[in-house]
Amino acid sequence: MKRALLALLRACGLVPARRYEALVRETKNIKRDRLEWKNKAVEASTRARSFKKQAARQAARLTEAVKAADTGSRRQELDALQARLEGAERELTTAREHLMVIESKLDILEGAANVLDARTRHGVAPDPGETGASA
Amino acid sequence: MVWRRTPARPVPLPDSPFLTIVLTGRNDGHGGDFVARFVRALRFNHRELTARGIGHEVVFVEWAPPADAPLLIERLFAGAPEIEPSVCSWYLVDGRYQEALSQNPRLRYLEFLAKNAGIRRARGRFVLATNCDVYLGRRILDVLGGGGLRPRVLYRAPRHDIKLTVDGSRLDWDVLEDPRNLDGEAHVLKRPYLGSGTGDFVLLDREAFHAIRGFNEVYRVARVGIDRNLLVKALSSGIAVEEIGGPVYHVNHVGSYRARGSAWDGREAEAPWGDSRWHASGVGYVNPPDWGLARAPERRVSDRIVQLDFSWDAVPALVDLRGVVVPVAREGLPHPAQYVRKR
Repeated sequence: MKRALLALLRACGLVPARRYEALVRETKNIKRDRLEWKNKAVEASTRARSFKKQAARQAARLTEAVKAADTGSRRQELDALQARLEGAERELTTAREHLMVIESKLDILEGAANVLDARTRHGVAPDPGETGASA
Repeated sequence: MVWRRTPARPVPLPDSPFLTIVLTGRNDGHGGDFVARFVRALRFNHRELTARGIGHEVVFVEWAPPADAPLLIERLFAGAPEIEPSVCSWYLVDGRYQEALSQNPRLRYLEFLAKNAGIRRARGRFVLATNCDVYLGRRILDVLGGGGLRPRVLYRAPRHDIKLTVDGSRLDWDVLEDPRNLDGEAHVLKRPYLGSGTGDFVLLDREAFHAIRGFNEVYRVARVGIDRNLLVKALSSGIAVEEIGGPVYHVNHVGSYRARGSAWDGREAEAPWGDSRWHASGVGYVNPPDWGLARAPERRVSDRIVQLDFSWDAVPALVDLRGVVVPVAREGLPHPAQYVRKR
């Protein structure tokens, strides 16, 4: 009887209030998470840009130093610059990797929010109460 | 009616064939004449493998079959009577999995989740994930027949596209190997072999496939790039990626990604295969241990067919952010962050 009633409600685009509220709650949580991750992405992106600028500056200095490297002390300076450049490149790579992970997570959160929104509006999802699922 | 669960880990199978070919599809007219193209390629590959004495099985996953069309299996074996039931395991997947797993309603076919369901159930020592209209090339058959495959090596093959105008009903070696029939230049794979029709040929030993837990099931926003992403996972897991030495052949058809990809330039996010700009080459993943719908109740409905019934227990979390990870860099290979294209 309950199933028939639920099916009838679903046909009219309605879902039980309990299910509706749960989905709304879930959607809100995901939207909040999405904002958080978006902020992280912006931060990481800024860091990546800063590392990139730093790497470019170091590379320019290195080029200048190579031109002027005619004494032992110049050589040492050159090696130090080289090491710093490599370090900056490593940091840039790491920042880029983390940025990609964050962006991928954002894609998932955005996708999930869209799916939950659609489920909330159209009552497409089967009621977990009916299936025994831990949805 | 028999119910059983798929084991969590690969168990040694004494009667396992050398090779399992994992295929997936459904009777939805994909590419115009899907059934005819599928039957031709399946018969060709089965004939050539049999001629070389290569023990093989086909695991076919019929994913979310449309309710208003006959099942693919009902149409297939009428066209390929020589393929015995023992050679082909057929899994019908309840359509509700498509909806329950979706992170992007534009994707109407979660191809790699379907492939994972097949890989999980494959019995062969080596498992080849490929597509229904792909013909194995002569060099590939030689390698398979020669027993030269090594474990923990993922083999790839370049894809040679045959012109749309070539008569698909009489494809033989002469037609496939005639360079005049190629649509454009023959593809050449470049290390680390990530791109260029990856999904058409991914060959790996069964144990390693289980170790990396198949294709990405965490990121379900796009279908495009998931094959490439498997290679990132493999490299990150210390599995070598090599070219097998010869091509597979694919006959062009309407609606293929290669033919239609550029039609979505500027509105990539709306494409029916998802946004191709996602970081498929730059991120790793960790699937749950019950990947491949391992917890889906299995019901044998005939000697050929097993139905995977719907259960929420088999559906992974809608969001599992811990499953998206930075890949591990390996000595001698480019750093993973250098595989990527920028958005």
